[in-house]
Amino acid sequence: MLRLLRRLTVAMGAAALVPTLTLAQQSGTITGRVTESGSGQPVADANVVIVGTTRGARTDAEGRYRLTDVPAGPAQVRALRIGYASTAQTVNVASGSTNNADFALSSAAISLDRVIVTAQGGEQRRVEVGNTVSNINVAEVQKAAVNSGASLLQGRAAGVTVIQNGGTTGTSARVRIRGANSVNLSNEPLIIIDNVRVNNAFNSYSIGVGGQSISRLNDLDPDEIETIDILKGPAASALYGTAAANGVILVTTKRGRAGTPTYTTYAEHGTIKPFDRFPANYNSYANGGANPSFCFLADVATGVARCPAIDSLFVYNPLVQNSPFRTGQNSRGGLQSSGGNELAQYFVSGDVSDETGVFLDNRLRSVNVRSNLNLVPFSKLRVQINGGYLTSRASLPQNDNNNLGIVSGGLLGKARENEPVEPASGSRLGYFLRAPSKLYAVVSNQDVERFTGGLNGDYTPLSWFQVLGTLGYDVLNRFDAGLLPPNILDNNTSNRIGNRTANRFEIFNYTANLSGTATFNLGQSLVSKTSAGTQFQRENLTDNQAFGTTLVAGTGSLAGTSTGFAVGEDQLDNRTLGYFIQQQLEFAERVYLTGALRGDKNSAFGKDFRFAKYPSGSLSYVVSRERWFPTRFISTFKLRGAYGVSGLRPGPVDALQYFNPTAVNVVGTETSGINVGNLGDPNLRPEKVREGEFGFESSMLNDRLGLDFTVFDKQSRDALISRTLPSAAGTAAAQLTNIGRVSNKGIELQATVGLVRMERFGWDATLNYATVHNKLIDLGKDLLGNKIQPIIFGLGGATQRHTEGRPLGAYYQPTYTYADKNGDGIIDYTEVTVGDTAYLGNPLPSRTWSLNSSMTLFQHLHLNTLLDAQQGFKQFNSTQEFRCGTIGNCPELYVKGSPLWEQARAIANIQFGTAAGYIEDASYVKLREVSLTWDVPSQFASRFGMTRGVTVTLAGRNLHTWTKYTGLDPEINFTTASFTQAEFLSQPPVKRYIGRININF
Amino acid sequence: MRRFRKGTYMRRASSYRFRLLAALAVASAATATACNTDRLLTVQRPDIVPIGAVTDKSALPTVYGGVLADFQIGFNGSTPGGNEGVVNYSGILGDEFYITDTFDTRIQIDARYTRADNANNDAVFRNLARSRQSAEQAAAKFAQLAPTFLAGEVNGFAAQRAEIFNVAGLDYLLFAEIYCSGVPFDSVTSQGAVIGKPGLSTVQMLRTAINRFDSATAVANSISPVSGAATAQLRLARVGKARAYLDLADTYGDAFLDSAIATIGGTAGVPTTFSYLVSHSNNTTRENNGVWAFVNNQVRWGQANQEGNAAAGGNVGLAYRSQFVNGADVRTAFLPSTPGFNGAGNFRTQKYPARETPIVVASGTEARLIEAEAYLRKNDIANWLLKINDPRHVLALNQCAPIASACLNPSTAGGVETNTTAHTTATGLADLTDPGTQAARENLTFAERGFWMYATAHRLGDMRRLIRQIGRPFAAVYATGPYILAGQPGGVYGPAVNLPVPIFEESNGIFKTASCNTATP
Repeated sequence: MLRLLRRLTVAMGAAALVPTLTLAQQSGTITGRVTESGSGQPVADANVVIVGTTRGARTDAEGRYRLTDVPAGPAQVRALRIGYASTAQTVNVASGSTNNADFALSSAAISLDRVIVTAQGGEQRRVEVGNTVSNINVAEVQKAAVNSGASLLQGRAAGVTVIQNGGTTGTSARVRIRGANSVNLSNEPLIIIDNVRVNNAFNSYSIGVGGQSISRLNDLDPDEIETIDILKGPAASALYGTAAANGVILVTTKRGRAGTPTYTTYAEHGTIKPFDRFPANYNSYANGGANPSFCFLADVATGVARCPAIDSLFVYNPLVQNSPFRTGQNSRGGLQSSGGNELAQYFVSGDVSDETGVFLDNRLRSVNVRSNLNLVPFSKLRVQINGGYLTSRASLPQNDNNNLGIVSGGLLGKARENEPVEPASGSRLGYFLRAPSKLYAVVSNQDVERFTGGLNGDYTPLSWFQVLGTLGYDVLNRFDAGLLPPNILDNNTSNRIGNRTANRFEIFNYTANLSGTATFNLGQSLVSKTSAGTQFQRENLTDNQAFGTTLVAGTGSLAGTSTGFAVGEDQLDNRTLGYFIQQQLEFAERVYLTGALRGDKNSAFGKDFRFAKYPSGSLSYVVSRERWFPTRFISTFKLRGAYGVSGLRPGPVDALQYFNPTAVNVVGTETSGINVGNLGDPNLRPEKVREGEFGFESSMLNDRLGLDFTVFDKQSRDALISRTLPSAAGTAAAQLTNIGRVSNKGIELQATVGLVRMERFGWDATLNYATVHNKLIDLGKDLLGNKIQPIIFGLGGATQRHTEGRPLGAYYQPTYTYADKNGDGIIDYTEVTVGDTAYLGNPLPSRTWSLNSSMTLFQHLHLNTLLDAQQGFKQFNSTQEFRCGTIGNCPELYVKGSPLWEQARAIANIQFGTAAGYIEDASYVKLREVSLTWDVPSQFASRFGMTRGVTVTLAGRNLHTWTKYTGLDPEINFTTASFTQAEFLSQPPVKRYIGRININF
Repeated sequence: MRRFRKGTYMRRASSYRFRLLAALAVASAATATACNTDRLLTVQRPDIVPIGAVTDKSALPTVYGGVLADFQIGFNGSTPGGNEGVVNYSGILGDEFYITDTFDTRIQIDARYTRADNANNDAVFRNLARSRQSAEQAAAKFAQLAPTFLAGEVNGFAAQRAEIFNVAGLDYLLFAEIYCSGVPFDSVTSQGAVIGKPGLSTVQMLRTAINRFDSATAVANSISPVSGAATAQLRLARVGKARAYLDLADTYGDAFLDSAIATIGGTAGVPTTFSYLVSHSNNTTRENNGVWAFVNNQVRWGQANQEGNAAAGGNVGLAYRSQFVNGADVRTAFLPSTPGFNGAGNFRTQKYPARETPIVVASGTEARLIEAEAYLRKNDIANWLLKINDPRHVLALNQCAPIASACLNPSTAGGVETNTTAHTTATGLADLTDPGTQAARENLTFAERGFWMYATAHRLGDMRRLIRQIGRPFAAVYATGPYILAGQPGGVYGPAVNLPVPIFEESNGIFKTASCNTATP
């Protein structure tokens, strides 16, 4: 026993300290150059690897590479790069010598050798994975047409749906990958930047402005990003454990290149056009018009006593006639540099941007700085040090469900006789509450200081053994501030005395990963890779919130307040510790079989639940590499299938039973009390999502056509449902419990076509198409064994439901029928009949497609267009419902000749309280981006020292919408809640026009 | 040949690699086992009060404070971001207020067709239910820990426990007067499991209220020597119990009218100057007066005046604004019209002029008016007249003892809106005279109740008794006909006379929405 222990100890020590123990001390060097087949142009940033080992190197700007310490003897060397087919050759390495191996790569629509980042922080070729991974080559995306992290994802990957909330600068969008899994938890995907998990909050603002919020996705600077890989579900993301069930967005920032330092500078400027189709407000008066008295057509037709006839009609559009808008501006500039040598490469960048939105108080300013360093201290160790710093200030306008909103006020105003055009004392200028000049006094800001840093180590002590480690740190300092100066808004006491809100947040994300991978050649054609490791992740949020009223005029801080104080503090800490093991078998470079198991512990699990297990498996079979496969028309064909389980954790205190402290005044004395906080659940466990997918990837017709097809079936079990507790229980309103099941099924297709390839004209197109059928299978049972009743929510309180057999958040309202029985062209109160409450549709699109077209003219002119469509969903047009049913200023109530269906839905709402007529088909197709780029001919550019080229781009975004939706825009939502979906007095998306110049030295 | 040598070499190397890997695996497993990974997952949670912290008598003051805090919210609501209380909602339904809001959920209540899935109604219902549950559980906790009380602590804890029982009684009483018959009162185990219960009829709720007031009386009577706190709770229990007896008089006849009178015990039992308040403050926004918040500050409702236009077919409510005469009757003082939340005219109440104005839950005035109504029903006109006039010549306006200044003279208290219509701090109102007919006396009695106890969650119970006990037709008590929402599209008044139990109660497994008939008083 002692001898065995001694042997083990010696073996472990030897492996750690004497890296060359296992092999004879004989090695050589391989160098060479990678070029493009045909043109002979160098291919930079290609990966050159020794097959069956973890050894590799990247080519520099000249396409050159160097591999050292290669064991003597025959070595198979492969060169691969995105967009090209890989190629390999055998090199006989002589001891102590330098051996040459050059490669010529041919372009390919589907590249199976593209490298993907793994959960351990390493790299894996696409050919080895059995699940689909979408890639966005950000370096090739036209930056001028992209204004945020969300727009970078839009329309570029099948199954990835970006749901915009509107057109306010700096506000958030929701991202859904293969539908929505969770009823009550977040449905946003995980974001990992250079192996470091970062804050991905999409509702990252604590002060209400009516509905919009800020997403941390918008902290991404597209100019810093090299590539984005998207893992779409548990089949791919199981090894990321508890948090990855909604998919993972893997962001790789730019890296340095060995070679002469290069510089890139860019500048862009653009305009943002305000929306120009806001409807006018209508009012009619009866009995002389001295005091407004509602009289609708229906009142007159029905014979309501106070409305014998409509004797006057007024129309006014404050959003046009007293426009609160301006033409927004966007300016951006940056400088990047990269360079280095074989031992050290760097990339540094700086970016400054300033965008003023169409509202006078809407602005987003930011400065992004990044520094990435790749070091090779010695041949067996590679170290990456990444650091990104962001400082920004966002200012948001009041809108949406907000009586101080600008758009809200304009859409809900009443048309009055002789509405003044010039501002008059006390005049509302046609707005609901106050004129915009007063509403703009409300200030809502967010200041952010953010640092994301990571240290990645890749140590190969033995040729067959690789150790990967990551230490990551993402800290977000956030200051949310609100200010209402006194004596400006006088609609109520609280507004008149003014107030100040100051909320400060510190949000930390820590990442620590360690894993080892052993690679064995088990036989002539069989390679084994065994990986094991551990991951620790911590999210820690602390905040202080302060509020005060009765603000001294001229001050803008809490120091100027004297009453109505409210303070709060939160400390939320969540930690995950995970272990995993993975085994991959590769046979003859055509079959890849992988199995893995991850287990997690989390501080938010119930005390009676300890360990969550996430198994996964995949198979990849490159059929086209079989000798018998006919490659004449199909050059590449890969079948793949994968299965995996991932999870979503509950909130930090959801499992606990606790009270909340509270303050109470007892006969003039302030004292403290406690009241019920949460019922908790000691068995609370993560929501588990199981997914199976199957598909193929193919390249055909001389690599002119690439197809990537997947069918998937995803189910969440033990879905965390916030079970509404009985109203009379006198306890918490809801209890989070693992009782539900949700299903998402669909297909994804990406087709890449080289339509035309001629010397002076080229045309490529990429079509992404995806369907997702979302269904709530089971809401579960309560403690008594009774079925859980549908969860009713939505704008207005009861317009949406989570109900079994339907998509999550389905629209439900009482239906109605109508008929103009007397043929007078007016639908009155007797001509509408209401029916039962029925299912009306789903709020999230069931079909999405995008078509990206890229034309090259005369080798220097590039025209790119992106068409983007979301279909198969409904939208609650609550703006019009509210205007007609509550405010009474829509034309169909007053104007004879209005379409009968519009009149009927208004009467149905007024008379019976049903909004069914306003749940509309919102399917749309948008001309999302058009850009024209000119590559300045090199002979002109080099005269000014711009040796690496100049490009000039003109671009436009959100240029046109085709839809039957009658509201302001189908791509709009008044809130950032996960499923609540409605257009309600919101700012629609805006058109952008940008010009940009890129200069490369 | 190469392959053979390579294969041989690989086999030797492979075997070494496997042993090495095995060693690493064993070492890693041993390391992982030795490390206490649970420490890595241990987090602090200072924001919450864990259940285990409420185990001994040192926690009872905060438990007691929590009961009062929950009752404040359930009774009178709070702001911002909070909800109304039953004072607000019963006031809307009972035509003490009219709507100047845009929320359909609130418009439904004013127009009296509140849907069972009305989210605002659910929130208010839940708050009152929370007050009831909080009081019941607190009373049990006090009883559980009683054996640990020291001699010097017994009376103090007993006074708190008596008040907790009174709060529970008030909760049952409010449910009975404001909601339909058949309200469930579910229970919750210590592990957090909800046990659904069948609904209680209005009669059962009122009898349960009486039971709780009796418990309060028993506990208060155990306090020796008698303290001011004990006396206050005894008086509160008397008023609450008498109110319940009055509500039950249609079921149990004149015997319960006698019980109401006896329970009050005249001015010796409950002095006219007595009042039990829910305190509010500006310390936190949660403690603000909810009526002030929604009527005066957010201007979502206005003080009503004869809601229901007789000329248009509706009925006439109480003239809360018309009766106001400068210096004569200031019980429902109001501010002139200002724009409401929906832009229409809004009249703000001066009964709650500031966010810290307290609200009277029960009082000696109410005691006198209970006696007056009971005597009237027994045709004892002499005593009726004595009782109905007692508060008029005894009290200054808006009795709010002990915090008198804010209520008696709101225009001068700090942080309070200025009443731009001057009114005097009259020391009393002129006595009423007998109108001569029983119907006129009944009108006078309920009008006096309406004005004295304006916006204190009494009016809806009064309207119920007007129909069930006094025998007035529905259309003579509630507004009917066209519902004209000031400045907004309208419809017709609905048939409801109380609020529904929310549909979400069906998850208790027993309750069915159809069992709640809001058209039955």
